[in-house]
Amino acid sequence: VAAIFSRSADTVFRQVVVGLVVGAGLFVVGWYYYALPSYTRVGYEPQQPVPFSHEQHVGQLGLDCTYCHTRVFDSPVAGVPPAQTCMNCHNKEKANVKGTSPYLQPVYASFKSGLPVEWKRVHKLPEYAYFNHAVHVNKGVSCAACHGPVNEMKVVRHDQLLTMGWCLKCHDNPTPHLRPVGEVTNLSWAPGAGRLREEIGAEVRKELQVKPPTHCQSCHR
Amino acid sequence: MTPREYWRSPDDQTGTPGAPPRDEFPGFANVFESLGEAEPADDDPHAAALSRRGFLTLSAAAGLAGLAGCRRPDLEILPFSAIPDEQVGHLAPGKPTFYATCLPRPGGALPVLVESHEGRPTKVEGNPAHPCSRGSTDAHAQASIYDLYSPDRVMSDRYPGVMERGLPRKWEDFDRFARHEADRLVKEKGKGFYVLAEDLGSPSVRLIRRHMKKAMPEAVWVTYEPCDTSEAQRGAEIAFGAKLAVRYRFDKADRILALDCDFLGHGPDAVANSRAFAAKRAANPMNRLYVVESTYSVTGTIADHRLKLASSQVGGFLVAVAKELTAHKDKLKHAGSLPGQLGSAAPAFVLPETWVKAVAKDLAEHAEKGLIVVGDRQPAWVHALAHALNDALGNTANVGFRDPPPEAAEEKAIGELARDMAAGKVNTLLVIGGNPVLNAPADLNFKAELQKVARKVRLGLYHDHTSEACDWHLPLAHPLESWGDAEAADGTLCCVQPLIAPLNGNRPIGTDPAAELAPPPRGGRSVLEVLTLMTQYALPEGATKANPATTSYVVAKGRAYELVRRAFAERSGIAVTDPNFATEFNRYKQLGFLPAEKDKSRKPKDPGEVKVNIDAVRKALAGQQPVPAPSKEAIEVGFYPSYSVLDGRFAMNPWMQEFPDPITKLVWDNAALVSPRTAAEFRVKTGDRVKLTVKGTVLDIPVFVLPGQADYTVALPFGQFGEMRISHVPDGGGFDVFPARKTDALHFATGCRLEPTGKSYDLVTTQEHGVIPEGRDIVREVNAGTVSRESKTSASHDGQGHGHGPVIGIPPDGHVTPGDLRKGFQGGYGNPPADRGPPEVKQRRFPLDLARPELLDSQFQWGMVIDLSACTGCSACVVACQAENNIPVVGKADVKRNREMHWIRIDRYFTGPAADDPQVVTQPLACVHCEQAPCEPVCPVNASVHSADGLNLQVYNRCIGTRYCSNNCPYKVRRFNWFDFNKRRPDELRVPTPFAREGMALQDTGVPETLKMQKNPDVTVRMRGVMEKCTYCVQRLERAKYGSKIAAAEVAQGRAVIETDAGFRPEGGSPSAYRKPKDPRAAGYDLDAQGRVIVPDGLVDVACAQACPTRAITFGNVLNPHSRVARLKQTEGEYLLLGELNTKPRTSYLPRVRNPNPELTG
Repeated sequence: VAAIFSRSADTVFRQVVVGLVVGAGLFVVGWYYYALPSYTRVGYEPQQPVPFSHEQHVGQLGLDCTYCHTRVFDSPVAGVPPAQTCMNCHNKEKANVKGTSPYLQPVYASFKSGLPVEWKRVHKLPEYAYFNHAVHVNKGVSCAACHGPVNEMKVVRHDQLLTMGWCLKCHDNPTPHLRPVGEVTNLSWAPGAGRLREEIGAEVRKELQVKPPTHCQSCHR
Repeated sequence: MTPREYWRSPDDQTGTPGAPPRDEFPGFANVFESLGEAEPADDDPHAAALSRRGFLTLSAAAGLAGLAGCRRPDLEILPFSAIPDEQVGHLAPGKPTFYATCLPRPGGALPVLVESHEGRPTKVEGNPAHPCSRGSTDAHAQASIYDLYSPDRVMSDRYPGVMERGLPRKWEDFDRFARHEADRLVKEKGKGFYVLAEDLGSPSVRLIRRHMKKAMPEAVWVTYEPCDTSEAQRGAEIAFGAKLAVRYRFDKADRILALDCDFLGHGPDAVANSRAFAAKRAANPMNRLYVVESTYSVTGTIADHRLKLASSQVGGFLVAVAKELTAHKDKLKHAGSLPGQLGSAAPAFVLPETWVKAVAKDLAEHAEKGLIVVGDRQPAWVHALAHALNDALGNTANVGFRDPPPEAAEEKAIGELARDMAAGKVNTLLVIGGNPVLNAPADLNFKAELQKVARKVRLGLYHDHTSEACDWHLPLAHPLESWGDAEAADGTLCCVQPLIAPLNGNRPIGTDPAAELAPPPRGGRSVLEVLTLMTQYALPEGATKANPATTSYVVAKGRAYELVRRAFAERSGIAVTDPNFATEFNRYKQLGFLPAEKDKSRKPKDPGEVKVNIDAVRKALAGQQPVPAPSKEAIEVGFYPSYSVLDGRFAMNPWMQEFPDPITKLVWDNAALVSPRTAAEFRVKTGDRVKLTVKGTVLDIPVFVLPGQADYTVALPFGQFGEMRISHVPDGGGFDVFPARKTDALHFATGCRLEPTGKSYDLVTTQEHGVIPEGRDIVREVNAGTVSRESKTSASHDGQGHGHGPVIGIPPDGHVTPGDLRKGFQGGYGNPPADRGPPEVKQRRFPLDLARPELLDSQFQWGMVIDLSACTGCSACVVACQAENNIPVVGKADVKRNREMHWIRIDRYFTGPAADDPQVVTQPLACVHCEQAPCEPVCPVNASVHSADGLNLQVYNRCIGTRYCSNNCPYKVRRFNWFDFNKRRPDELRVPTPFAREGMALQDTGVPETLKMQKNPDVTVRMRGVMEKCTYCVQRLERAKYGSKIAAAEVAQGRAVIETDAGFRPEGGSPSAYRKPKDPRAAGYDLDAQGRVIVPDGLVDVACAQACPTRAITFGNVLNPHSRVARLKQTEGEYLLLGELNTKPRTSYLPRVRNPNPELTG
């Protein structure tokens, strides 16, 4: 009987098997690198219509987060400021801080026309996830815990993963991420000399009864 | 004693001759989708011809196609350029705002609060401050939010806004026409100018009418409502000698005799009536309701005694009662008000003697604490007699009287208008709202006569039959889009304020700010705006002068607002120029109404002033001849407004079309209701089309067999168009019965004929959906006797088959009776209620979940109690849930396949010994949130899980649609998204594919953009293949929890200062930063005994409970001993539905308590 398979068939078969295993492995590795939020989200740094620098306004000038994001302590959404807020300073008639800067043209135009400045959205949770800013900041979770060191960012960058697993890490053990409520918007806050974040966090946790929920309804409705 | 039997339909009842054997699992076809009736028949036009194999092939292909991943698209955030002044400090994205306004409707507006998310109104709630609502609404108020966004109104391609003779026009074109027309009309003193309006009840419209009287004195105002109340008004006029608006105080009445009167189900005051009636129902002693009616009404379902009687015989019944009352003269207050001569109107049939005697005796014994109420359907003399009897019994103290507005006397009826049109007297006709071409009495030949009018202008919400017959169609602004006002049923002035600019489906956003000033080409205008134009209502002195650059639209809008201010000034007695005016007017807008004590011009009449003119009543009675009882040859036909589409004004609303009728559970259609005996005699069954001859008009309509309908009578719910006019909805639309409704028989017609035709029609009813199998203890009933429900002593078992479950009456020391199955299983809340001892001592809770108590460690343990003795089955909760939870409509074809998506349903059970005269129990049923939920262990992907708050959660993003959970749910409350109901139009759920004639749609064709605006942003819009169910409105619970925690934090951080309880020491817990407030409700939070932050009772409610007009549903934290729900959970008789399954539901029920007259039960 003539051989059905040639001598090389075994080799080809082995090569195919190895190739498939390697290919599948590459696919999985590639998937993990390219398809997960660590690649698709973290580092997202879109160019904004106005080159507003948080580094300058917060880091250097010391503006508090709530000067612009006014509703963060009582609303689910912190809010993006209206052009009106910018016009408190950048206004020819008022303080006239760079009152005619070409960079600020979209703000002037918005203030005049009533149409919004089209800011690019950086942080976005899936539609089925409901995050509440107010309850977090009122329980001693700093802005920096999710948004990173914004006071050092010239352009706002997506700093943290904001995936469910990432959220749950803190919800399982919030202690290291808590600080006194008064320091929540102080992005460069550090525990005093000789004290550990865990120590302070544990105190805050006890005092504010921090018991982060881990069941589905707290975020999915 | 045999247990009492409950059934849902005649077919379902055992022992009925010819009834098919019961299914082993009735109504479970939705679970076993491939079995039985749920599989569409081959000739069904909607049949999916796709085989299972074809489907799998297709899904594999679809799966591969989905592998194209990428980065997220760039999204924008659009903040305000400057926050509008009135919203500084209020507007917070992500937080809803509530505005007080009202929904005008004939007879009286419903005061409401409307929830608005970022400028989009999404949900209507009752106004808790107003006595006509007290926070409750009805189904129609809930559904009105859909009308606001209805694509047929704002973005239909067929009807582009303003139209003249079928051609699209702009508002400017109409403005030109109106200016020209108004000039001429003023010159001619309004000769030939007629306004035909629905009952607007608006004081600012009355200001315009006053102006019209001066500027165009010959103009005529005609008011028409299909739900005619003229007989009732005439009856009051006969009895009291003056036109009076009558309003009954059911919260004062211990004995109520309702004659053909659906005061809980229909009418402007149904919400207030329900609340008042339910309060008296829960009181000790309970009230007792006798209902005499021909078809089953919502009021009939809750009656203690119901007599089915043809409408034409009801007057005779009252005469018999009046005669019987003369035997009790000694107990009457004003025996002189009894009409002596009653002979001629005596009934022409044999009345149940015991009934009349018992009712009369009961009413006489409860003189001054009773009421006789007569429905609008009855002739004037019956009303007059009832007023006289109420006066004789001294019941007038329970009646409120008001003078009608003076303008009402000058209004003409539609009959006169039709005659004037025929005579050529009408040159210009402005039709405001309504739909007279459809629903005017058929003998007026309204549509034909209308063509004799030279200029016909129609202002209507939808482009309907009347718009088609008129020259101009003008889109009417929704009440939520316009300024206005209206009177509530009690006469208080309520404001109508816009929450959103008139919607305008095709206007590009953000192009030209100057476009703001231009009238939107499609957006509607209010009645006031159009009327000011048509009547040249001048801007009053001192009002803002119009800038010449602004358009007439802006001018009209400014005038409308000015009118609302002036109407308020007139009613409140504060002049517009008064320095206090702005404050008071703002207060009025904030509260939503002008409280009665501040109303200077319209006061309720003192009941002492109102005297019955007994001679006039006698005279009215004298002319009456006995009406022969209906027979097989001479059927009586009654016309009723539909519970779903009302008089047709909700026929364009898919929510109301898919709303299961509270009695028949029919959806998308209406039918002729007949009794089982009548059906048997004519050899017809549900769905058979019959020929119904009503005074020479022949209707071809299917019958629906309704137990409890009077024999030889047919009830015709009107309002359906007879065709489906909602775009993108393929089926339904029912049968138009208006052609048979004529001036001389607006409410019922005698001497009609019925003939079977042998044809049939596909009626879809949900009454057999989600049936809980036979023999289970589903509904419990108990008779009150002399013991109230709240009493500590046991109510006795009456031995008549009532309360067929375990003996009602639970010893105060334990939760359950010995022998009750629950005892072995139910941990329950086995503590005495809070009011029987200091809660801090007695309050203890068995572990809620015996298996894993550590999972339920939250301080919030939500629970619900549904009181069956308060539930009237009105189904406001169903639509409230639909609006709150983004529940789609599925269409008639899919309801037939048991695929309706309502999270809460009202099961309607017939019960009682007689199959054709049963009693009804209605039972609202949504997910009961079992602590040991059968759905949870069977989910392969953990999508059905439990929360620490005791909620049974459905996690949509985990769900893969195996439907195991639904199979395992004994309550049948889970709903599966068979299609992308939220993404596709109902007529595009199935489109042809290569595999099937009508397969599954693969492309999204999209739903209209405006419908997306209605969605509640706090609730996920579910997609195809996902299971869903009642969540206990978890979005509201979470909002309340966050709110309380934030309120507590604000106090702890010193950002808010309140009075706190310094002496409070938490039990076992270490001191925290939080302080216990003295007034938790005002503070917005409370601390429990352990010092944990909780939501004070009453600050959070679920949508169904909030809407419920009788407060049958109570929701709250069962762990909080001060909560209403925790107290109700301790009530005697509280039972768990299917508690014997050890599911430990969080929703429990209180039995239906009836208060029968011992003389009638024997």
